Amino acid sequence: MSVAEVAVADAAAGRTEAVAYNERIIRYFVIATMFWGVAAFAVGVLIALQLAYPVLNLGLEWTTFGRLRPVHTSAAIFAFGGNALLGTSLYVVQRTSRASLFGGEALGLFVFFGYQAFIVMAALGYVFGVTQGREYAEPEWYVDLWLTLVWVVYLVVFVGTLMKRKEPHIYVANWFYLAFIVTIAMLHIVNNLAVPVSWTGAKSYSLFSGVQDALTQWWYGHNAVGFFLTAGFLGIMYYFIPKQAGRPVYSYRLSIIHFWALIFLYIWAGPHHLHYTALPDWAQNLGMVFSVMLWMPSWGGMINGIMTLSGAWDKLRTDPVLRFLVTSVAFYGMSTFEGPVMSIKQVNALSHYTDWTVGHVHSGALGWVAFVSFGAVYYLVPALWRRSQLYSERLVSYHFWIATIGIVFYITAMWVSGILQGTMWKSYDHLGFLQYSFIETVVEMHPYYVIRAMGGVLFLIGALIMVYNLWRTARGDVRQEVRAAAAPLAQPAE
Amino acid sequence: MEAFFQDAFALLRPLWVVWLMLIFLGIVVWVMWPKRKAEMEDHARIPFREEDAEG
Repeated sequence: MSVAEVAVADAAAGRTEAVAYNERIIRYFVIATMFWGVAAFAVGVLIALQLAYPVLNLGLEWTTFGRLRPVHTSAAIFAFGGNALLGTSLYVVQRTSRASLFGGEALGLFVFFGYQAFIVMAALGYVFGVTQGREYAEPEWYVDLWLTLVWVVYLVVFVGTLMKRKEPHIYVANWFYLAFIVTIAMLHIVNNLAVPVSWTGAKSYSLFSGVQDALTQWWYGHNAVGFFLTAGFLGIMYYFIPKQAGRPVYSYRLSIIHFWALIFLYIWAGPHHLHYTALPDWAQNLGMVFSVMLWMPSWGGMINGIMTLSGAWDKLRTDPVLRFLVTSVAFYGMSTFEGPVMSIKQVNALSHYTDWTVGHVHSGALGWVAFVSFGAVYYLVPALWRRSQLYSERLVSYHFWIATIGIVFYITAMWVSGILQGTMWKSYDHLGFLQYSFIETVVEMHPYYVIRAMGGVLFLIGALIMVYNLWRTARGDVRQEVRAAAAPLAQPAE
Repeated sequence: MEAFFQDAFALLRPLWVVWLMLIFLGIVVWVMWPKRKAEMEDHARIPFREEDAEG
């Protein structure tokens, strides 16, 4: 049955009815996603250039790499990615439940402004040197408490909307979103258990110490990857790829198996961040084995996303928004192949603490997380602002190619730089002394740092093109252009 | 009796990976059961059932 036929059949059976969805909040989240995305990419370009040209640290404590790096990571993950997830989840849960937002506009506005306040408080803290020193969990105790409150309200809004649903079954995208919300709450609370030095000061000390502290931190850190950067964005994949392609997901059964396999496996993978440390060997091996097993559900999910286009491959050529979404899933497949390889202890002995890790993270962050968010935002702006089409599909295409070339620059430079760095660290002379001093490795990496920064600049330019395109779309403008679909030579792919 | 449960718990707990695997295989069997095929395909069409008041 085609989608149109399904719609007619559903309407005849009384299964569709008009619902007044709450969309103002979603529009706010979409705008915030674009704003923080550009901010995160711009700070990323700046700190990439600081590594290549240290003079750009400006000699001021507030603008050093060490303080701006968490500004970049938090802006990318929690501000850009977080707003994309909060916005799309509240859109998808309303649509697939055929129910309006639980708590209405008031709770929605609290979640929106509360979350932006969290971002601003965290970023200001980093710049002024207020940090717990826990990677991706840098905010101090007072920011953590505020985020906990906002997050619980978010959970109430999401689950409340599910409970109001008119659709008997909870669509699988919501399962991924709910796993993201619940698991992040658990990780955030446990990893941030800390004792403030005083009620009026920012400083606190962690409840944990030593190797327990390290393991708690990387249990948090890797599951932030697994449940924030993976499960949440898979929720986007399972809704927006079928919608943009106009056909249901390839296999709903596979999507359920994908979900449970990820849930069962991801939570154990964290110890691979602590290979060859004081962590007991059995725990390191456990982390490695579960990381390698994760390859299976990851690729199951990738196949499910890409095969949704089965029989409609020509849309990849004519629809640049769909190209963003499907390419993101391909990057998901690539980085979830690379990750298990790097978690193997023998490979990790070369890759850990080098730029290879940075390249791996960015193939996931730029290729998967950002691309799937771009695809969702390109879908959402015309839908939310009631426009029949985007201002320019050609600009989407430009954005796609400029950003893709930027990613290729970035990750290839980091592969070469990382392997170079790792092999230089492991080189011994004939007397058994280390062959190279640390500064020699830094000098060798300079050209790759410059190439990486250029990749970042391209990615930023692409995002600015998107912002312009979507601003014009929201205004209701349409650019006169020959659509790629109208090209006479195009033959449908089989 | 309490001692029995404690012993049984001590015996079964180290096999956690087996119990989790069995639960997962149970989920796979449930999902793939041939009778559920049509129901599952129907679930996949949920995103296409949304009509809104304004649109």
